[in-house]
Amino acid sequence: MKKTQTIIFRLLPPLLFISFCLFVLIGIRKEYLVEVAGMTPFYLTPTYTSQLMSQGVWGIATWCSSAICACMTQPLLGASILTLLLTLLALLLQCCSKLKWAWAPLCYLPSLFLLGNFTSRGYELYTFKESGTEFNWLIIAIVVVALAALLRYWWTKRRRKTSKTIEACQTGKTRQTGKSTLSSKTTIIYFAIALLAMGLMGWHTYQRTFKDENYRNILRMKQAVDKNDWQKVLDIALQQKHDLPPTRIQVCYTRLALYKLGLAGESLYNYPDGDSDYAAPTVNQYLRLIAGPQLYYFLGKPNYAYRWCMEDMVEYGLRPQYLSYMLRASLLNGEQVLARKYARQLNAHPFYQIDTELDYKAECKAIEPLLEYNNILDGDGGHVEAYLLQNYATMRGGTRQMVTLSLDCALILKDINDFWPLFIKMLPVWEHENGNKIPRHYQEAALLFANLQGNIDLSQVNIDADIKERFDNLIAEANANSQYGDEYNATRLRPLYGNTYWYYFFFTTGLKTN
Amino acid sequence: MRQYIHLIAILILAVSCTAELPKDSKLAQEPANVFPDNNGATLPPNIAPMNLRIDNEGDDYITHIHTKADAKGIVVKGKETDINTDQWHKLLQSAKGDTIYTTVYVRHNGSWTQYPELKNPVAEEEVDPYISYRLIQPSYVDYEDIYICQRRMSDFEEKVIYDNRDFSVDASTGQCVNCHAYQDYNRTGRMQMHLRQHQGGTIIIDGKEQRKMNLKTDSTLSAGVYPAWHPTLPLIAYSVNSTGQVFHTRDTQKVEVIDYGSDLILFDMNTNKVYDIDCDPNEYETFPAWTPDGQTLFFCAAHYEQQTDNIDNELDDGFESLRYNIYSRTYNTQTMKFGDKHTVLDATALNKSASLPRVSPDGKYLLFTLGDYGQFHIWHHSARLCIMPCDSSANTSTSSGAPYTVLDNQHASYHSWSSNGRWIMFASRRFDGNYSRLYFAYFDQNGIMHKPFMLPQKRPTYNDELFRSYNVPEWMVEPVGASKSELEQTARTEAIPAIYAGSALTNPMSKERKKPTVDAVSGASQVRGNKINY
Repeated sequence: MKKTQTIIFRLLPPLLFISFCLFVLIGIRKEYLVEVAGMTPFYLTPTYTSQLMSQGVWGIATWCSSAICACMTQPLLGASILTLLLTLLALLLQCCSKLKWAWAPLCYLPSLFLLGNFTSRGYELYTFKESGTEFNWLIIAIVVVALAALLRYWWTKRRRKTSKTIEACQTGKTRQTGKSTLSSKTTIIYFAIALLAMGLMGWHTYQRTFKDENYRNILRMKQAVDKNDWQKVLDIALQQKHDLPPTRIQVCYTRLALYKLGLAGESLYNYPDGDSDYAAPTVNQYLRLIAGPQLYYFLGKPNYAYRWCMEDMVEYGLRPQYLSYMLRASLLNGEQVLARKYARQLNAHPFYQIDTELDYKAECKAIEPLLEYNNILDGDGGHVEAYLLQNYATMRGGTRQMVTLSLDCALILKDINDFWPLFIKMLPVWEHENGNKIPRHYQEAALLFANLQGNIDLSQVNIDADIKERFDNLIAEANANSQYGDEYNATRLRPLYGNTYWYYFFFTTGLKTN
Repeated sequence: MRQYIHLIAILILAVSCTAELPKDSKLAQEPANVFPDNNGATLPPNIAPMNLRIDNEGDDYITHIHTKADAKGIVVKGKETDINTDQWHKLLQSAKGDTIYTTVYVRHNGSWTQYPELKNPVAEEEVDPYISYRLIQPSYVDYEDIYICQRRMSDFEEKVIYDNRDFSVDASTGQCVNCHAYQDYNRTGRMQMHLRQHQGGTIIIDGKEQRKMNLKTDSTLSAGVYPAWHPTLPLIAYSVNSTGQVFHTRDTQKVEVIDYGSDLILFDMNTNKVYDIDCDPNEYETFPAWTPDGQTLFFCAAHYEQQTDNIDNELDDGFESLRYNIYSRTYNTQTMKFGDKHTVLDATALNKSASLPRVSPDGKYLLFTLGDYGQFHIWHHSARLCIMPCDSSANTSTSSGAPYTVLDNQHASYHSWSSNGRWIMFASRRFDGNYSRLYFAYFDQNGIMHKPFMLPQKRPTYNDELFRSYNVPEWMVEPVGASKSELEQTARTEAIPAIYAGSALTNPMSKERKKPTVDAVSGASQVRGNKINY
């Protein structure tokens, strides 16, 4: 066989493997890598290190594995390191075994299996108690195979003491005396078979890879929320495929972003709503586990954000994400000493560098207006969305931001009684700040509720003529088609009224809030 | 080549170990910024090295620890000191009844600064050789990550007595471990601790013998909760509590631990019988504590008459109205009966609430925490460590003279006396407001508590880096006899049911609750109710 041909065949498996790894890790699971990093404790402190080292070999492997996970904060870096290690394992196996180069693709099967184990995970990340142990078996396998390779090298050297054999071992081209060399054609056939096996394993790995669109969007939104990039959250929400309803987490993130941008009253019902099941193997409070601390924190409930981070820290370890929101909640609560404790720990993570004074100042300032409520004893039972909606909808008074949020929650809950006092409270604010322009959905709700209750006079309220006209048309159409069922009307009216509060009120029903 | 490497290594080691005091240094006016701040605290003569971290900006640090008798003392290099334990104890012994001085030198931009001496008087009286505590993350409902540890006071040796993680594989096998307590500072080898939920029960150790009891009977409110060993007899007084946790929406105390009912019981180890002590449904009795002679039982109790059918909502809304006084009952060791109830501290009259009474080993003083309301002062910012004479009669509320003295004006919770009565150990969240650390204070002959010091650590930063709280600290003269594996083995056994045997009062009381006067009111939309099952 020609030399160049041989080189190509030898380089083909690692090149294919590296390309595949990077495609799966960066192309499909980029957001997941960042999430893994946020959910893996890795701190360069003597206390953390000694705690792991006291667990012996498993602890050392966990330390190394956590280091890889920590690098995933920068997805390309983390993916490259993981790819490198998986390739190293395959090359070591090749070196250690006596496989001819034609069979070399078979050495990539364990690496593909380990890659699949990692990429097949999704929601398990939040209930997996042994954080940071994702790559323990990879680390252990590399060490064991490397030791075996060394042992083999040493043994071969001792037995034969010929430089030829050493070279053969290093290149994986061990030739045994008395055995015949295969013909070039047979070698190519063997190589093709091995490559096919590798391809099949790769296909299997790709199939195993968790590709749930909703989960991916949840992570993209979550990472945008972390950076206060509210517009990005809305952009992701609008990219939702029509035939795939969002999960409650996505809906909550979307509402949060709308509230933060002051757009909830104007365009809340332009965004997809839904309660898709989480594509998780077990039922759990995923909304609380994934988004609870963020929602509580950004909606002015720092104690509850802190509480759930603490509870989860007990269950799942000192994950950077928990520390990050405990730090923010402490800052919002004015607990500076406590915040510094969390900041110190986070700063011991190679990829988190936090200045408590600067990094969250603006963020906290934006949340502070939501904190003007009296302390009571309460509890959420882990039902984050329901608790926030109820809590704000039944709240009376507070700052302008609180009343706006209360109004949004009353609308979402279709709560007429809570709506009116909040609406009336906001009228002078809109008059003063908004040139007497009432956001669209509030107008829609006022018209609807006045119509339903019958005894409300809206003559003094500035209702846009086009909204009034649309409402009258809706009433007329509803009356004309009252003999048809809700399903028929929902489908028929959706193109015209799908983005209105009216449509939400009548046709978006039975959604599970958590 | 290899020899050279060895030589260089030895030289590096020798240079790093030898620290000399700077010859030229300017004197600073302000003391050095060190952690922990133990300046002025009185030290026991058998305490572990008081390592410290110097937080002043600098390139090089030297700490000189010395006494009048040993001016040369110990010189340690580094931002964090790692004092040699043997040298430290030698120095400490030479300073008994005198003072130990610590001088900090910091080199910054090429010049050395000498900071004013930190002074620590050294007492004559030693602390007990061991303490034990629970290490727990300050969580609320989840509690897997718990260890009960024993620490030797003369050095840094920490031994795990019980590792709760060994049992908490998943939600169905999760368990909580709490309330480790010893009879007479473990001199008798008797200890108890509770396990909750999976394989729940109370482990009782009596020398070499171990058993697991189920102290819940049909006639009592719950299994035993807060324990108090009789100092000599095989008896344990317990509170039985119906406890729940509810969360503050805004207050940084974050959680409120409320008893929605509580009584006192007595458990006889010899017969496995449980007796009622105080079971008045309108009195919420808790935190029993024996006097060292075993003739009196102190306890806390709050008076509350239930208004509706829903006590949980009532107390969640009116949690600040529940205030606890301190009472006592005499105990006749011959008849094994309790006498009448006496008021020791009417805290309610002072708009305060008392918790966790502890009698000094000489029987003279009663140590307790006083807060604005409730009994679980661990979370209360208002909690103060207070003391009063044991024999004082019930007080009257006067603005001029409270019947107690505030010993420590910062957030303090669980406290206990050393066996010689000269040292008080307590847990406090004062450091960062959330993670409790252990503090030790000298209590002198005149009844004055000196400035407390934080539990010394091999690395002082450990107190900062640790994400767990020190909880239920108890002094011990003898270490725990049972090994971790033995305790775990006992934990896996079936619990022996205790037998209810009526009242231990000379004049038994009625257990019947007054009928509520108002119908139940709904708790609005709140999802509360995080009841703990004992």
